[in-house]
Amino acid sequence: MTDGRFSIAAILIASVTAGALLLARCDRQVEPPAASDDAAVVDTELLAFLSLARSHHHEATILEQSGDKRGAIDALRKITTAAKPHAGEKLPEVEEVLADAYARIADLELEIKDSENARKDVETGLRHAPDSTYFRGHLLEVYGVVEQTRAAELADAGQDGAAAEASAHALTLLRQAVDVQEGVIGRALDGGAK
Amino acid sequence: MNHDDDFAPPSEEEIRESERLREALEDPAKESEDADLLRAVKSAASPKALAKEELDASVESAVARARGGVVIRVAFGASLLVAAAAVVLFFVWRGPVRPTGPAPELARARSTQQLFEGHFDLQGGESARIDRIVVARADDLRENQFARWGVRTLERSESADTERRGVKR
Repeated sequence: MTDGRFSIAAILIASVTAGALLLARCDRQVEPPAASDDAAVVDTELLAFLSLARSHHHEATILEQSGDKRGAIDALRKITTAAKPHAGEKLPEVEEVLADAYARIADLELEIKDSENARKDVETGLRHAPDSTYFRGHLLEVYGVVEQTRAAELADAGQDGAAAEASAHALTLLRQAVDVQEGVIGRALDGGAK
Repeated sequence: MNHDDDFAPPSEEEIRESERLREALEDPAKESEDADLLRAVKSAASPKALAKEELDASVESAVARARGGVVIRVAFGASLLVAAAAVVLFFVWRGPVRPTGPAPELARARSTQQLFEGHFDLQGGESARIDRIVVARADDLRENQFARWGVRTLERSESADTERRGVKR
């Protein structure tokens, strides 16, 4: 083989090698197409919020067991006031966790005879659970008990009219709670619970 | 080998080869391994002083060969450099490698309803509920990461939630 042929062969081999490697690299750079689903992907931001909520729930449990119900409420408030993941979006998990936190706060407030704040918190919680889910059913149930307690307090205070009104509201809420739970269970049995 | 062939008339190829050998013997600048061998044998048998023309021709031939070698080395060196650059581009400066093909199916935010078998008790159970939610979504996050890496495909998220019911870790 002559010198010229040697040189051409060497350059050809190097060019083919370089070309193949660069083409392979370009191929790897292809971006995957955007996901068609609009819902946010489960990511570290969502997990961070859920983890925070978990910590505060357990903190509240410890405080509650030690008799510090106000401390438990404060711990749970840290969930409702925490920065939410994906600002501007309503992630189902976050909404359900908030709904459950408000239900627990209301329940604790009832235990410390703060039915007025319990009513406010359970109503706020319901805004986070607009659909028929166990979370909404649970909130309605708690709300019913809050109204039942208020009715008793109003009756004790001699406000019979307001007491009767609160009592009727409690009945309505508890029936709604049952309807929601039955609806959810029915859908679950049909295999389509959402 | 047939010895009768030794006395056969030379073929055209043999005649051409002998002509080339003769020319190479007369002109040392011409390349011929056979001529070189014959000259070496002759020099070994009866060494003589090197004629100036012969010396010049040898030097000229050697220099020409050396130039050819330099060209080959330069060509290979440059080619090697190009290949090395390509390897560096490929392995070092390649940035994040993403799997090709369709986008991986990723777990998305959704209701946690299916993690629970029945309605909640009026009091208690909140910590257990949040535990289950966190465990389920942590699984989703891990699966998403694997799916992005192209390591494994994601099972349908909702059916996964149903399977997670009652699973305590």
